[in-house]
Amino acid sequence: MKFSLNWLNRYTPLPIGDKEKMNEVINRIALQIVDVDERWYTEKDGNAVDAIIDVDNKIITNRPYCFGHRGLAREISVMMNQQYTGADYPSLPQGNNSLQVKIDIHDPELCPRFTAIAIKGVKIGQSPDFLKYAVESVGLRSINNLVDITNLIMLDTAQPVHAYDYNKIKNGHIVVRRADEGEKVTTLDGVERTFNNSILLITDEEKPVGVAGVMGAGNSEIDENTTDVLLEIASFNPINIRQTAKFLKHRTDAVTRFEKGVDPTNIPNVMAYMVDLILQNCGGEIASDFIDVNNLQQSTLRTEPLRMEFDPQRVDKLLGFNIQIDFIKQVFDGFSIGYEEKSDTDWTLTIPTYRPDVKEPADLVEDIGRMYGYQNIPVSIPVNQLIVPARNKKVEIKKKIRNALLSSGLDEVITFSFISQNDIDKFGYNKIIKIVNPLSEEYIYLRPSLIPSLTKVTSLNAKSFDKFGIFEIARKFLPRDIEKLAYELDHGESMQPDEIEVVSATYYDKAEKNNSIFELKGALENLFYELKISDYKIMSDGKIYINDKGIGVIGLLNKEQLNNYELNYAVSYFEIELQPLLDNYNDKKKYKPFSRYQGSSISYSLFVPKELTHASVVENITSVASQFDYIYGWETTSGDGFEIKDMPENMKPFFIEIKLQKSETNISDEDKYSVGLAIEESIKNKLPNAIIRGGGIQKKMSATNPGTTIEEKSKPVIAVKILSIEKHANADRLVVTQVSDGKENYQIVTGAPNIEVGQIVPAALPGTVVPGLKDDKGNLVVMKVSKLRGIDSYGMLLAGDELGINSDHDGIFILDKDKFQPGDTVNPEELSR
Amino acid sequence: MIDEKLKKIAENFDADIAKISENEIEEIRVKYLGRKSELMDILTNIRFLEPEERKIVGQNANVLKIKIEKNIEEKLSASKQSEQSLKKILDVTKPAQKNYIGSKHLVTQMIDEVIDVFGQFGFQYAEGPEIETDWYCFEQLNMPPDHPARDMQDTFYIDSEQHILPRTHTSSVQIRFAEVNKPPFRIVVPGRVYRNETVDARHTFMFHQFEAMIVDDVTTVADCKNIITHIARKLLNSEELEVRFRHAFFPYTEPSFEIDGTCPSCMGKGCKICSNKGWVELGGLGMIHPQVLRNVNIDPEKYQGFALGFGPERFAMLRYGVEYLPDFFDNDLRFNRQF
Repeated sequence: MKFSLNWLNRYTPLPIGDKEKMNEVINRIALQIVDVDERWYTEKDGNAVDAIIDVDNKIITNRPYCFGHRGLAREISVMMNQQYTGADYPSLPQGNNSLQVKIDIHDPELCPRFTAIAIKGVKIGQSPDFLKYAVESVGLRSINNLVDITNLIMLDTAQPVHAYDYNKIKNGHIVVRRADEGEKVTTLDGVERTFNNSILLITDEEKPVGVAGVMGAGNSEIDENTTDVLLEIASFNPINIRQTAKFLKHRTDAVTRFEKGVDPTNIPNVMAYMVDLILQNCGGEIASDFIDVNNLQQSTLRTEPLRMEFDPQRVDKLLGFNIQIDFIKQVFDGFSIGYEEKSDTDWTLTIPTYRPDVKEPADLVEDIGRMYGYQNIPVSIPVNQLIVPARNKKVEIKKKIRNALLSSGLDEVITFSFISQNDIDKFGYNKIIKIVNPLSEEYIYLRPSLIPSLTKVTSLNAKSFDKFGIFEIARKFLPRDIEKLAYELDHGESMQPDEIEVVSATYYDKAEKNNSIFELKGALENLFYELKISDYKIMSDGKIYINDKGIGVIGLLNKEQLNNYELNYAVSYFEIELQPLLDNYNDKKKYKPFSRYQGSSISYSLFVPKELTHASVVENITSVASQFDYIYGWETTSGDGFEIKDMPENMKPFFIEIKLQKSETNISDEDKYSVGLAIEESIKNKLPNAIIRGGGIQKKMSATNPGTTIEEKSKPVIAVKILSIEKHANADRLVVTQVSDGKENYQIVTGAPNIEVGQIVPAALPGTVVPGLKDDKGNLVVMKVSKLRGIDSYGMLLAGDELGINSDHDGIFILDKDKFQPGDTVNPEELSR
Repeated sequence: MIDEKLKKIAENFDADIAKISENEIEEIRVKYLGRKSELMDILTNIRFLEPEERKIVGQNANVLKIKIEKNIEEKLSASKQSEQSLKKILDVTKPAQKNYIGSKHLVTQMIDEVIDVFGQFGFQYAEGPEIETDWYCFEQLNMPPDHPARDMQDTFYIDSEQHILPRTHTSSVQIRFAEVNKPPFRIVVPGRVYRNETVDARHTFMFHQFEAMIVDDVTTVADCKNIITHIARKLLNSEELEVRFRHAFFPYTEPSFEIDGTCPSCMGKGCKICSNKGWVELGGLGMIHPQVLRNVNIDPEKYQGFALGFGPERFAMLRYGVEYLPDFFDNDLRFNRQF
């Protein structure tokens, strides 16, 4: 709505002519009263004779009086603490009774007050300059002196009024009634409309002459031939007016004011003012009584001043700083709010009827605060105790999910929650929720999945990028089933749709085609990894499970979908629900000691039947894992699509590495052997057609010791006791010893200079891999029975370097007698510590 | 014995020379050729050996000495070249091998900051349904049916009776939270909201809001001016920013304010972004209306507090100079990847 400063100046003094000061006032209005969208000045001889401000109606929605200049002038007078004359009205003179006026109200609830008066002998013509300027300055078209006056009255007092050509109202008899169902009325804008029973009509004895509170009908308009007028000022039910305007899809300045609730007690004043203006500017004389059909006791509006308890201390308590009592009184006086001080904390207020917005003390705190000036509010530090917010698992987990997907190279997107009929068709959704009043066909359904939206974004970006992934975390919407809904309706509960928060992603890679799904699967598994969820399964049909509960799906868009969204290459997608991730996310992880010993692994290279899925091969092979607590994981690759020379038809290469680790000791060859045996057994039984190409225990052993079978597996280094030492007949530096492992005696030839009878020393008996000894090719050496200068040696006594623990070759490593008994396994790793 | 010693020296030298860096070469020279080195020890004491053995050991030791000298020489010249050769082999300016990292959506970045910043003031995260009932979205917030205030928010509906609707603001969560929690509390509620508005440069029918609410027995307008000043400074990354309160009307707060902040692009001097006002609009705020408190069975005589509703997109636009709101939801990666 537009206001003229010059007009406002009639009711409270404003610095008209001084542009700078006018601007200051407008700035204060904008901060304290109503947001000023625009302002402009009318200048004459270099003086600003007026300023027009266009304000934001929303901010005065609850203050109906502010829709007129008198109301805004009052606000300004309080703000500037100055005189206000906008409450003054002329009094209504008595006239004759030459014209008959009769009013019948059939529905006093919708029309609780209707006043009218007739004026005879007016002269319709151009408006005088002041009137023309007034209506035009605030954006209305000047029509004629009488119509302009009715507009001025509304813009001045916020009370809509109406003037009929008296002679077009049959017998001067107005009937206010509800429209008949289906009644057709041609309104002032020339449109014939069909009405229903909830619409209130103003009629005469024959015909409707207007729609109450909205607009008149053409049949009773003022025109240049009009001599006698019937003036109407009424009060209508605000909700009914609002509904009528909605029904007619027609809003007028009158509707804007009536729906806010104009003060019905001010009507006689407004009528007096209007009559006064008409008599002065159009001539004529009052030709009827002032008819006032008053049923205000049936009005929903405030018709009596409101009495209210008020504690002035409340002002400081809400605003947070001290405001003087005198200032509060000044504001109350300015708004004509009466106050009776019963005590310092107990006042009784009388709220005038023009302020229906004031319902409780907080409303007055606002008035006091803004009139004091919000710019004067100090900044204080909150004194209340600190509430430390609880951890929020959902916020945490969403951050983690985003991190995992972002680090996997996916960009985050946020798309609209609505999709089109075409999307629904292409993706074959059938449980959907429609928007009753959609904005466009493109956005007509609440989406039951994020994938269509992501597909559209993919299509857009495929124009600029060859390879990219996107994801979104948002809610999808599914209708509740009918029974549940019926129950909820019966029990007065909500019937909102189910909202399921999901994580969805798509991936597009021009080069990789269909294989891009594995890049997306990588991102998905990173997500699980980030959340430390390991109990997930991705089935061959793309369904994704956690602990046997379905949580979503991974797949590829079909041809039709790709075509529809103008995509030339494959698009993979997944969509999983957030709640199961939240349920399975473990935020109370505990440290588990990990092995500090040497681990190992066994690998197998296989040919497996093509029709077997990778997962099933893995599952079959690793089914033995539960028997060995030292199998801690495996890595697999599948050579789908690879052609290998000697590969039988209908087979594909498969590789698995099984990782072994013990918490208390190193992994021994025996451990490896046991696992290898079980794995090979399992392959034989569960994958009878699979071919072991290489790997396993067998291969490793045969490489170092051709001809050795698995049965002759490697023995550990053991402790032996030296029983005797004799000189070697054929060599000065060699001696022949007899040693015992506690059960048997062995003859071993050695060159060690430091040996003595009774020592406990490490020995590699036949079949033992010597940890620190390698042959020319760098392979480990397995001890065999050999001849040294003609004398048989059943093994070797070991020096530090041969044990692989240091570089000492000067003599045998002597074991601590307190720690080793003959026959004990010697673990070189332990010795080195 | 001595042969073996020479062999060991040779082995150790080989191992050492292989692993040392250029500035350790002198150390190695001292270790193997220095006066106190093992090799020098052998060469000096060679005269005490039997003539035959002396011949062999002497030969071997000298061969070793020459070899060591030669190797050290080679290493020295190699190290001089190494810098040059590194450049030859390795062009570090070539493109790196890296995994591409995605970009978090700008709105998410703002919301993450919102949760963090409000968290520093003790606000806890809360959320509620996006598809709301009229009751929670309007009625409980002091907007009865046919109240003119409803014109402020154009609403979509999913049922013809207009009971169920995509929420027009996150304020509905105020009600849901306050219904089941006892004051004092502080919450922050980010989320999607929907308005039936035609898309243009400044409007989209879906956008985000964050709601924050304090209910306790002491928090005042002056307190919330303090809190909002700090929060706006952080979210707009502008420590000099000041806020001002303008009178406003919201049915669910009393008093109600529109919050302006110093224009972050001109710091109040006046520019295109702020239409030369020096101030930009940040959002709405107010003391929770007593009727709203009563609606959730909180006694307004005892408790008070404020509620605010701001837009993360708005903050992002002001902070980064984004001009076109629909960019946030078109998801052209050339936009998303800028942040």
